[in-house]
Amino acid sequence: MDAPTVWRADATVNKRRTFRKFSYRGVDLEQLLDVSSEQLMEMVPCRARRKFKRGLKRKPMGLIKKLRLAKQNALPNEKPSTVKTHLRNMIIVPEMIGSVVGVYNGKTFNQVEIKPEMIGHYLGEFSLTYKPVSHGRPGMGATHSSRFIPLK
Amino acid sequence: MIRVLNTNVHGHVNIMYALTAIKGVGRRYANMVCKKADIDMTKRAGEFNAEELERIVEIIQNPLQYKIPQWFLNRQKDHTTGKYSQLVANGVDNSLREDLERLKKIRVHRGIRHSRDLRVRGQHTKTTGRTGKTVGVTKKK
Repeated sequence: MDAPTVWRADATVNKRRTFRKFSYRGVDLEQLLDVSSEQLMEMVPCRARRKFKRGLKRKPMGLIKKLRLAKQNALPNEKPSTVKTHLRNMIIVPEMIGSVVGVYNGKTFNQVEIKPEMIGHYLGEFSLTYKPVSHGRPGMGATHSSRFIPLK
Repeated sequence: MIRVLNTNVHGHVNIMYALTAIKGVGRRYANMVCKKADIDMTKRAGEFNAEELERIVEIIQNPLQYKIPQWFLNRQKDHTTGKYSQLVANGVDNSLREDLERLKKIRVHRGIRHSRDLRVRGQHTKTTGRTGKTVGVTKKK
């Protein structure tokens, strides 16, 4: 019952991706790549705007340089090589679109391909820091009612 | 019962409060729309003729043209289109679904939490939010 509905939903999602042109706040992808930083600040949510306003002194410069290098060295029709970073607090900017970033989650570098829909979010939001919980059977003493049983 | 914007609106209720039956229109927005429409606010919803109701519907759907300020609207600086609008009736449900779909598609943490029916806003989930979820130990007999 679940499998066919999921497949159909995926198909419509893919159709939407290819038919509907992407636009962030009314601005198309090509224009986004040329937008200046002040214009970007207007479009982005207030948290990101605050971060940009408070200055990008030297934090992301290394990362952006490496991303540019990787993109230049990439062959056409191939993804650029992964750039690893610990900078989970880096906001995704149109310049980064198409790069592959390895975001640290404390233990490993999770590979994230930057898509245009991700603008305005932090890099850390795409790299889960915890293993999702799958509970086992609750043991003795988990609830009040199960504490008296352990006497043989 | 009048049919406005795909919703049934009670006819015996005051017009301002009758409009709140429409999803996306609350008391404040209904008040604003009635004022901009120049209608008698003391009358009941059933007492209006079709032309006035049409005027109200137009104002609800095009708030910016009728000088309702941008900060009053419920969909400001939309994520994909950048427009300012007021979502009403089906639009509210559709846009909510689309927003969640967008988050899930990008695989943001927020989207993952939504798809697993967990708390999204950073709340502790160890002891709260138990309605519907079962926690217990089964006794062996």
